[in-house]
Amino acid sequence: MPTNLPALMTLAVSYTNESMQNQALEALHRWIGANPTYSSVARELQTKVPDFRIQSVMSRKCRISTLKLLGCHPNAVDADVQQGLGVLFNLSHEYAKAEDCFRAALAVRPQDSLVWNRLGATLANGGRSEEAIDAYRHALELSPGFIRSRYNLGISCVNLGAYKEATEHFITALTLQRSGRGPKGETSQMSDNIWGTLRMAVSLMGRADLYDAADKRDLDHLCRELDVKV
Amino acid sequence: MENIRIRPVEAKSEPFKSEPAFKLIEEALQKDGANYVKKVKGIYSFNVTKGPGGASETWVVDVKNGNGSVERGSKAKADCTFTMTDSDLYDLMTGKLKAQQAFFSGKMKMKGNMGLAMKLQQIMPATPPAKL
Repeated sequence: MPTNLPALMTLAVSYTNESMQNQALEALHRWIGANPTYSSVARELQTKVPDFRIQSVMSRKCRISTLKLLGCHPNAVDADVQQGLGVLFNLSHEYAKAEDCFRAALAVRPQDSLVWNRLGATLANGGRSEEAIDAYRHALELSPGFIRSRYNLGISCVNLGAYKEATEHFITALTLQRSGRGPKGETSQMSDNIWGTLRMAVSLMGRADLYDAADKRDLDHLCRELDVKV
Repeated sequence: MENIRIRPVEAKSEPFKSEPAFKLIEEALQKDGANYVKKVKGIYSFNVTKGPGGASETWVVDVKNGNGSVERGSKAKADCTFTMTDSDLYDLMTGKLKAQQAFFSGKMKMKGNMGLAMKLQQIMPATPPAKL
């Protein structure tokens, strides 16, 4: 059984991002089980909710069990648990509750750019792009090279109709990806998601003349045409 | 020597503001049309007024047959017809104007199948979700 807690949480987050609910729940469950503080809660979860699936996990019984996790640390907010709950509420699209959890985590760890980004994504997916931008800004101030947060910021800009700013963020994110090198010097891939959303922003700007460059993934050409300084 | 880049001469007719949105819908249909058809099952017609130079144009978005299609200037019969200005339609397609708000403020005139009108949101261009 793997017991690397940050890896298990990252796995849960990745599955959540891909809308793979059951796999995300399983990773969260393993995370609870691997966490020495909460192993008793994990056992309890297992007996009460043997089938840990999205339909049942949001049932009252399971919620109570999950919320008991909070009770284990009555005097201190456990930022990890709050993050786990935040992911859980994202899975069930309860964004206001997820927001509370990430904010509680931030109260303990205000310098954690990952949590700021998760708060931003939660706000954005709950239809609050303007507030999301603020959270992404915090994340990027703490970690300027945080590609995922830069991409999210671009998405929020598109949602708010700020296409020019959106293209700047996407191009910055792609440039960072392109300049990345693996341990053996291998070049890194640019993400299809970012290219796709950049193309959308370019087209909503009315710059049909740049379709070709977007399709050919000519980053330097777009950089010049859109006057982006990276 | 300085590199001189020459911009292509603008086409004679200026594009409609909402044109890119139709292009995005078309691309989405090309990628995943059968899925949209299964969910929507209808043909929309958009009468776009007050375009460049006051021009009007019609776009028909077929989300009923095969993998769906988008056709400009089509006279095909639609199940649901919207009439609105180019600039209001652009706002609607980019989420700045909500359909209900557009309808009740008179910015959007609608004829035909109301249930289908409610599904309009499903075909509009949407950004991907943000990543945690």
